[in-house]
Amino acid sequence: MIDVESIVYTKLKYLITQYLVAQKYTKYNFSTATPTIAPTVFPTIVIEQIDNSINGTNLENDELSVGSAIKIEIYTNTDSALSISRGIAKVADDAMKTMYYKRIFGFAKIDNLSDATILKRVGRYSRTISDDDTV
Amino acid sequence: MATGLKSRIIFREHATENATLAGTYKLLVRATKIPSPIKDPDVKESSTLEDMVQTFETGRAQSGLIKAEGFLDERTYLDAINAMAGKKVDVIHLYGTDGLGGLAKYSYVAQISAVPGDVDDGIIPLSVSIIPNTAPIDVFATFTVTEAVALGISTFTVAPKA
Repeated sequence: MIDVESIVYTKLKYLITQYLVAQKYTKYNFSTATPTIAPTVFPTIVIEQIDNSINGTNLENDELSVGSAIKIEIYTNTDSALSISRGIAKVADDAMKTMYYKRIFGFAKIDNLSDATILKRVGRYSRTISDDDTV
Repeated sequence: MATGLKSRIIFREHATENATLAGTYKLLVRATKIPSPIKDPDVKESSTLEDMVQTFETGRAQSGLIKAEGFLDERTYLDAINAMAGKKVDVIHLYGTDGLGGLAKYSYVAQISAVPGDVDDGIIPLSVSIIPNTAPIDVFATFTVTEAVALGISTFTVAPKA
């Protein structure tokens, strides 16, 4: 099975961490799944592959390519400065472009009705990855 | 009934005119699409002025370019097809999910060439052109096919049916 989720996650985590450290952040959190309750650490960055379905096969039923879709969620609050989410989004976006992903949604700001101090920003990316491709 | 999965086209350099199909063949391409080796027959009108309705007879089957499609996922198939430039090849279409023509086999002599197809941001297609030099014939009853796989590459042995 073609699956690049861990490679994408590792690259994004490394680059975003470098950015946050440069911005003097000492607390941050990375996750591969959307939190079911409000995060306790800010910023929290979720990097999750939400689709990896086959989109290229042949009569031999070889898996030749998949349509990989990656969702990136950034949770920030007033303590971690709302504006940092824009900076993280830019770092993530640049990194995704170097991996030939196309941004298909966002980065959109999602309002949080239960706690207006938490800001959620969401972006989604997709690309076709063949069995010989590197990301 | 069967699906089109594991339908294949195999080929070898054309032997002498009187040679049988028996021998060793290679897979043409790991195909995504294999067109029919024989097109629809012409419909020739046979009605006369006295007929109340038109009548017809079966004419010659249409033929032409057979364009098989696959992906340029490795150079193996492109190189093997390029090596046949300017030569004639024996081609056999195999139908059946056993990958060995368990449902139908059609053979003909042809010339082949391959080029990368039109590209977008998906995987690169490989377009294989097969120009038939002879009429395809049904060889299901006369030949059997066996497959040997080494390092992921299939080799097919065609032998007369006992």
